[in-house]
Amino acid sequence: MKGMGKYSMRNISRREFVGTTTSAAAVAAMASTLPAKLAKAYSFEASPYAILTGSGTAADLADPERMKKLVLHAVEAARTAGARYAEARVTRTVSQVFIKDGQQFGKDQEDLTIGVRVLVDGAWGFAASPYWDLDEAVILAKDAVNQAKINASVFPEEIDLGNYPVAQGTWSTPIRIDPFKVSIEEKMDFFASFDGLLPRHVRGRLYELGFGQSVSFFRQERTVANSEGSLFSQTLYNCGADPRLAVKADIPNETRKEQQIVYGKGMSMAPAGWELFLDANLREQIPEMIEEAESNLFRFIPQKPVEVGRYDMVIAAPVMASLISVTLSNATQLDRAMGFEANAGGTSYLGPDPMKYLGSALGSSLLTVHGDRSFDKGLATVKWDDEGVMPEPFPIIDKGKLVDYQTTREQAPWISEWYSSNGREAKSHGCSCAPYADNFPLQHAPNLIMHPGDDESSFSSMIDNTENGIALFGGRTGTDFQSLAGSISDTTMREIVNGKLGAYLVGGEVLFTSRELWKNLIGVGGSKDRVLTPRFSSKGQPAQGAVYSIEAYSGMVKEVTVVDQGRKG
Amino acid sequence: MINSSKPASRFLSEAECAEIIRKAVDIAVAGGDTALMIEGSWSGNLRYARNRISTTGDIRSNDVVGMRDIRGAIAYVHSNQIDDTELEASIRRAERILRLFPETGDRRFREHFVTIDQAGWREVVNSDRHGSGDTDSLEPPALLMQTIEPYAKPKIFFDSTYNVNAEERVAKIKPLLESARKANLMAAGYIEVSAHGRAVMDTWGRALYYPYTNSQFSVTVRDPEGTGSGWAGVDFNDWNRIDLVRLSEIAKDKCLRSRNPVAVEPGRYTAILEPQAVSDIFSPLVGSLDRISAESGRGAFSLPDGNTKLGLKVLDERITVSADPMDPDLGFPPFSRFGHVYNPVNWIEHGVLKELSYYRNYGIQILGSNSGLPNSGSYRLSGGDTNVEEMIASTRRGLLVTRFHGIYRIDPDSLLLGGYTRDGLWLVENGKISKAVKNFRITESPLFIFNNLESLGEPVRVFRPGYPTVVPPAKVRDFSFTSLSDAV
Repeated sequence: MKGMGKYSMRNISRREFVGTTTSAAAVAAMASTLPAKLAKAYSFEASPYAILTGSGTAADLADPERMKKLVLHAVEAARTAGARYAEARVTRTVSQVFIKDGQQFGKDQEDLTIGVRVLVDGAWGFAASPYWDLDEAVILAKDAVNQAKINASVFPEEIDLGNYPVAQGTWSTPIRIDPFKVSIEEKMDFFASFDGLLPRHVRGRLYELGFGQSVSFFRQERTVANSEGSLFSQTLYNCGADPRLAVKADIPNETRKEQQIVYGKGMSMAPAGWELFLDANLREQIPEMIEEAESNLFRFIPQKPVEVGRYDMVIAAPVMASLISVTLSNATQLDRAMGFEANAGGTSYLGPDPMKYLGSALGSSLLTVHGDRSFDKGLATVKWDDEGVMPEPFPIIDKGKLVDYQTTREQAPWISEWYSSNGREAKSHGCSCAPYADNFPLQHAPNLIMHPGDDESSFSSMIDNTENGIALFGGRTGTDFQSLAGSISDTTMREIVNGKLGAYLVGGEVLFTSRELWKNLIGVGGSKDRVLTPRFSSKGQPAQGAVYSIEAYSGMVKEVTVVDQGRKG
Repeated sequence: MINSSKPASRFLSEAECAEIIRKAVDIAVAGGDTALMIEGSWSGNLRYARNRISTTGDIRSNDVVGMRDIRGAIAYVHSNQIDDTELEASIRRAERILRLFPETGDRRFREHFVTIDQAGWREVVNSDRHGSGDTDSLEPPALLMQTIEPYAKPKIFFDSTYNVNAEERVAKIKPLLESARKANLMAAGYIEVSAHGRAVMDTWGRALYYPYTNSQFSVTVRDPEGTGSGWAGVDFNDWNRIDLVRLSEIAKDKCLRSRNPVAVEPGRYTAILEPQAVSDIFSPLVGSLDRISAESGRGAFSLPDGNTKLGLKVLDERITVSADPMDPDLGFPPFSRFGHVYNPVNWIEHGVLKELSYYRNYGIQILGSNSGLPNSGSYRLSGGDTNVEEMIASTRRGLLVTRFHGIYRIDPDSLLLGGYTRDGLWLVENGKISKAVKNFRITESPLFIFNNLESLGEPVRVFRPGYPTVVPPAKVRDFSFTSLSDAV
C-alpha cells in the first residue's frame, strides 16, 4: 500500500489527460498502465466516463426500462389491492457541489427513491422507500392502499381528479452537455482559469473573482405511471454559480467604499447543462466588470444614515423578483389560501375563501403576472407535472386583478364556481410536484413571469424621472406567515435627488404590506431590465422543497415606508 | 446471512450496518481508512387540514455517508443506497474524489475493528483487508482523534412509538376532527412517528450504533373566517407522552380567544412568553455557542484579541442552560451523525458562560483533554417557581405570546433577531388578559431580554422535532415589538 498519490491524475497534465482520454479505449489504455487494484478502481461498470467524472455511475443514466417496469408493477399492484386511482414514481437524483469559488470539491450525492400514491374511497395513501426492486414496489403499493382504506374511515371526501389526456413519452430539460459527463478536474480548472485574466500588479488594488458560496450541478431522472395509462419519463437538469468580481482598495480611506463588487451575468442557477458556464462568456465580461468596479471604487460616493419616512422608490429588477416571490408565490397557492398549510408555513392573505378574492383588484393595473411550467428557461419547467398534466401558461394577476390560483388536479375543482362563471373548465395548471419520489406530491410554485412595462422605461430612466426618492439596489426580503406584511432588510440604497443618484443610505429597512405595495406600483421597467432569478420554496409536513424561476423587471413604487433597521420598539 | 440490500425490519439494525461497513471495507482499494455513517429511518405520518385527513405516508429512508481517507486525503460521498453495486459505486466515487485533496500525512490507522458494549471495549474482528504486506510502514497514530469514547446510553427507543401504525394514527385523529367539526372550527394538524438506527462504523475502530424513536404532534385551529388562530404542539421520544386531546383543546381555546384582534401600538412591552415562544427566541442563542467562532472574533460570545466571554456573566443569574442525553425529558442520541459524542454539559450556569462547543480534535490539540464538547442543539433551560397565570396576575400592562414565526438573524454579534408573533397574542392589563391583539413583527435579542428577566416558570418539553428542548415560560421587561402585522 503506497497510497494513490503516486498514480493519481495530479501527476499527469490534467489538460492533456482530459483532452485525450475521452474514449473508452483511451481509458482502458490509461488503466492498463496502473496496478491491478487501481485499475479496478478506475473501471467501474466499464463506463468510459467513470474515470473522468469519478461519480461512479453518475455519468450514466439509469436504465429506463427498469424504471418503467418498477412503476408499472407498483401501479398494477395498487389496483389489484383496491386502489381507485394509483400513481407510482421513481426518481434517481445525482448532484455535485463545489465550494470555495468552484475550486474545491464540496459534496457528491446520489439518491434513488420509489413512491406510490393511491386513492381509495375518498382518501389518500402513500408509501415510499429507497429500494428499487419489484417486490418492494408491491409492498409499497399494498401499504399505500392499506393506509388509504384506513384513512377513508374518517370523513372521506369526494376527490375529483378530472379527466386529462394520458401522458406518454419522454422529455428532458434541453441541454447540450450533461454536467456529469464533464470531469471534476475540468470543472475545477474552468473556475480557476479566470484568475489569469485579473490584473495583478496594480498598486493599491486587489482583484478577486469568485463564484459565490457554491457551484452546483443537479440531474434527476424520473418516471411516473398512473392507473389511467400515463407512463412518462423526464430528466431534469439544473446548475448554476454566482460569479462576482471584487476590486479592493488597499488604502484605507473612510470616505470611500473600500471594496466594489460587480456580478457576472448568465451563470445563475438555470435549467441547463455544462454549456451554461461556457455560453456565459465570462471571459468577455471580465474587462467590463473590472471597469465598472474600478470606476465606482475611485468615485467619491458619500454615505449617510437613512432618514425614517415614506419615499418614492425605484426598485431594481432582482428586488422586484424577490417581492413577487414573497408576496405572490405562496399567497396564490390554492391549498395554502384554503388552510391546508395552516399548521406549517401558514395560510395566505388571499384566503380562506378564494371566491372572495378572485376577480378583485390586488394592485395597480401595471401588475400582470402569469404562472408557467412550460417556459423554456424555468427551473420548475417540465413537460408533464407529477399527475401527468401538460402545463400551459396561465394568468394569475391580470392588470392588477387576481384571476387565478396555482392548482393541481385535486385542487382545480375547489374553485370550479369561478371557472364556470368565466365559461372555463376547472383544469389543473400542472403545479403538482413531488420533488423526490419519497415526497407526497403537493402543489408547488410554477415559474412566475411578470410582464414588462414599455421599452422606454428602465431602472435608470425611472431614476432620471424621479425628483426626490430612493433607488433600491438590493436587500433581504421576507414576509409573515400569510405573505401579508413584510420587510426588506440589509438594504443597499441610494438617495435620488433631482433625477440623479446621490449618497448611499445606510441602515434603512423597508416595511410593506403586499396589497399596499402593489397598489402603489406606478412604473414597471421594460425588457432591458429583465432578470430571471432562481427561487426555492418549501411546504408540507414532512417538509419538501422545490425550485422555480421568477422573471421580473424593475419597478417604481410610491410612498414606501423606510425605517431604521437597528431600531427597537 | 444478512441480506444488506434491504433491512429485515423497517430500519437498519446494528448487525446490518456492521455488514455494510464490512463490505465497504472489502470494496475499498489502495489502503487507507474507510468509514460509513448511516442513518436508517422509518417514519409514519398523518396530516389533516380543514377537518379532514389531507396527506399521509409510510416512508423508509437511508442516509449513507461514505468516507475514504488515504494518508489524510479525505473524501465523503452521500447516497441512500446500501446494496452491493451501489455501495461499490459510492466507495469508488470517494476514492476518485479524494485524489482532489492533498495528503496531509495523518496516519490514524488502526489494525483492528472493535465495537463497544455495556462492559466497555471489545474487539470483534481482526481486519486484514489490505493484504499488501507493507503494514510495517504504518506509524502508530499520533492522536487517537477518532477512537472510541465512552458514551451515555439513554433510553430513547420506545416500542410505544415504533408500534404506532396507520390504524392508531387515524384512531387518535378521529375524535379531534369530530370535535373541531362540532365546534365549527377548522383544524389542521400533523402526527409523525419515526424510528432510526444511527451508525458510525469505521476502520479506525469505531462501531457505534444507537436506535431511537421520535414522535411529534402539532395542531392549528382556526375559525372559518380566518379571524382567529391557535396552536399547540410537542415532540417526545415516547409517543405515550403526547396528549393529543389536551393539545387540541389548547389550540381550540387559543383560536376562540384570539378572534377579531385589535391593534395596539408597537413598542416595548413587558412580555409573558409561553414555553414555545421562549424556545423559538432562545434556541438561536444555544445554536451560536461555538468556541472557534468566538475565538475568531465572530458572534455574540467573542471579545477582542481572540478572547471569549467564557467565565463572564452573559445572562440573568437565574438562567442555567444544560444538555445531557441522559436527561429523561430531553433524551437525544448520545453521538452525532458523524460520531461526535455528546457529553453532559452546562453551557451557562447561573448566567455565567461556562462552556462553548468544540469538536474532539480541538479538545485534544488545544485543551489537552481527551474529549470534545459538540453541541447537539438540544437543551434544558432552568426554571423558576412561578407560572403563566401568576405572571399575568402580576402584570400591569404587557403582552402574552404563544409563539414566534420565521425567526431570522439580523446581527450575529448582538444576536439581534427578527420574526413575527403567531397563533395567539393577548394584551394583559391590570393582572388580567384584556383582549386579543394583532400580531407584531419583533426585533429582539435573547441576550437583551434574558438580562431583563422578571420571572421563570416550570420548564416543560416544547415542539422542536430533532432537537429536544425543555424550557420554562418567562416574563421579561422591555421586549421590542416593532411593527404591526395584520396576519392571523
